[in-house]
Amino acid sequence: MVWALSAEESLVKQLVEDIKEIVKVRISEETLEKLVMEKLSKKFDEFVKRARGVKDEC
Amino acid sequence: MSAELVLEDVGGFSGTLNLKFVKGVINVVKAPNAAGKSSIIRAIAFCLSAPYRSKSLAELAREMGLLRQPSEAVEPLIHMGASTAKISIKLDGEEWKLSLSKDGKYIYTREGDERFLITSVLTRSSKILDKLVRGDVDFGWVIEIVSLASRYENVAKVIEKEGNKVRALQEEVERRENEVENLKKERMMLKKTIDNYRRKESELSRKLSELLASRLDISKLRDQRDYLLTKKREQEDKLKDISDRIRKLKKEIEELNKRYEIELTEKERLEKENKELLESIESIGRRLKELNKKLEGYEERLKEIGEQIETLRIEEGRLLAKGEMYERALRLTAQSQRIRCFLCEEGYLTIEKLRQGKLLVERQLSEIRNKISTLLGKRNKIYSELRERDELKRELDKLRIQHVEITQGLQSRERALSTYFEEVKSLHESLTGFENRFKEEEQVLNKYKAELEAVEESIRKLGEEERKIVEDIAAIRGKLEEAEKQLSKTERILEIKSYVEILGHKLLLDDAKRMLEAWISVLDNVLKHIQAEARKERVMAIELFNSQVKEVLRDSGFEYLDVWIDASDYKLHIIDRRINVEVSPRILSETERYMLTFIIHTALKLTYTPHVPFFLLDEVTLSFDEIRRRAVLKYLSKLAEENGWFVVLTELGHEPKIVTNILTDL
Repeated sequence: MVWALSAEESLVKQLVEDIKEIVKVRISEETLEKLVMEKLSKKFDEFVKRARGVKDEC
Repeated sequence: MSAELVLEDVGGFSGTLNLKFVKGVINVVKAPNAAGKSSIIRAIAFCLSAPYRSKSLAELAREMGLLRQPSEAVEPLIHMGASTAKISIKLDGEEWKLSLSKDGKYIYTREGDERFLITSVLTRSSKILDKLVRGDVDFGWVIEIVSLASRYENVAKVIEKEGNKVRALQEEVERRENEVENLKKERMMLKKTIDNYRRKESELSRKLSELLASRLDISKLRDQRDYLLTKKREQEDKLKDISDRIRKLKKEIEELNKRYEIELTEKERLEKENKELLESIESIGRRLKELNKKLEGYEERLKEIGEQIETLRIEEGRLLAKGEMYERALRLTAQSQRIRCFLCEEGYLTIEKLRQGKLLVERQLSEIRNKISTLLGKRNKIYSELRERDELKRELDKLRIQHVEITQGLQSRERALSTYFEEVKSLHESLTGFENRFKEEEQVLNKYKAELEAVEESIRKLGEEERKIVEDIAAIRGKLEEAEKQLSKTERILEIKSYVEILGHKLLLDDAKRMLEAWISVLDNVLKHIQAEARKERVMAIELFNSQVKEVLRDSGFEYLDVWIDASDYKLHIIDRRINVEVSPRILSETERYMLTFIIHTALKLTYTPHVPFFLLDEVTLSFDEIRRRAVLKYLSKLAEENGWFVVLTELGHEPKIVTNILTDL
């Protein structure tokens, strides 16, 4: 799983930045939580897809 | 530059109310109690702060009476009887419009800044004031509201929740791995079991083939069994005939026995009767013998007795005559004393002699009579015995006749009994014959039965063996089928369980496990960053506030106070620099607490919502003495001017000279 480890650092950075952007927007707490959750799900989905893609290529 | 406020059915105001505020000065709303001053403050606060994104600010809005509490029936900002309240603020060509309906829903044209509620609205029921009154110096909540820290913390919670979900997935994967491991073991066991069953089935099939080859033996045995069955049936018929005969004979014997019993009873009765009769005959015979012995020569004795009686009668007669003579002689002698002897007629008899003679005669007479009586008694006894003898003879004759009759009867019974006995004996002999024959035939039958049983046992054993093998084969095949099904099922489950679906992606357990580990690592790192951001936000907010409050203290003439929030515990510290002592807000005077509240609000306003150009103070200056009031108003005026704010103040008393816009037309 070298692919995952190498991707992790940039992924963390990206996620933190995205979340910071969301936090700054004036939205309700519920919407904020929902958006963050969606963001995490999306990233996780991408993460899985990418992992699978790399795996398949291997 | 001014701002126009239009209220429609707000609070105590029915219909429309227009107010104009001047920018950069203090605007005083002056009116008596319950005229609606506070409604104006609340309306502006609501219009400029709604909507509320954070729960704590929504709660604060309810506490401040901008929105109704869940327990309340009506919205406090809607005028009684009206269905909606409308608020409009026009400023610099921009307009904030808000319409609040009875169900608590509101429509707005422009978003306010929710922090405005905590920074820019100072009333006598201020939450900050309330905390200070209670001596509660925990100001973490203010920092949470004004900064983004709480939002970051909410995000952190979401990430933690997400992390928990992923950990749950990891646990699921681990559980699945265990399941897969167990399934693999189960598969191996099933394969072994299947091999085992196949071996057994093969072995049993071979045995069955061997058994089928020996079917000829069974056929022979069956023929033998049929023959024996026929013989057995014949023998049973024979035995049945004999048995019928025996039953019939037994019945006959029984009947004869009954009759025999009757005859025997009768015979016994007759024998008893005969015995009694013989005893009577013997007794009578003995008596007769005695009587005959007694009566031996009874005629001579009777004759002798008769003669003796006759003689005695004569003697008696003579003595009677002699007695009469002595009687007469005595009668005569009485006359003459002497009398001639009448016997000898020669001599004389004296009275004395006569009397003696008479007595002698009487004595003799008595003796004779006694003798006669004795003889009569003897004769009567003989007559009595004779009569008795005659009677006994008659009785004896009668008894002898009876004896003859009974003897005849007895003989007749004996003959009959003898006949019965002979008959019974004959029947018994026949019965014994039949019974012996029955036994013999029965032995033959038992022999057939034993042979038949042995043959059937052999057939049964062979059949049973065959059936058992067939059953065993069927059972083994059933088990084999079951095991194969189970194996197939296990294979299917194994195939399914070897993969896990994550977000719609089918992944091998191993891949899923490693990927979840990586993702958890990502989430943990993101969480660390977000928590760091929250801390940063909080510290930044505190630093800004502390710096601002220092300025406010200096600018408002309270430089002798040092007020700050500690970033480590969020506690508010108040130091009186004159005596260099930390003071509790509880020991401050009411005016000092008001002042401190004013300073904190101002610092918050300047730090977080300077861009919202309204600063609202509802009857705050009432507690201040004239000097402090003037100082506060001067400072507010400076703030208004420097920041271009609309400072709105509600008042009861006289306005100081510093105020430039007074609104009294409420």
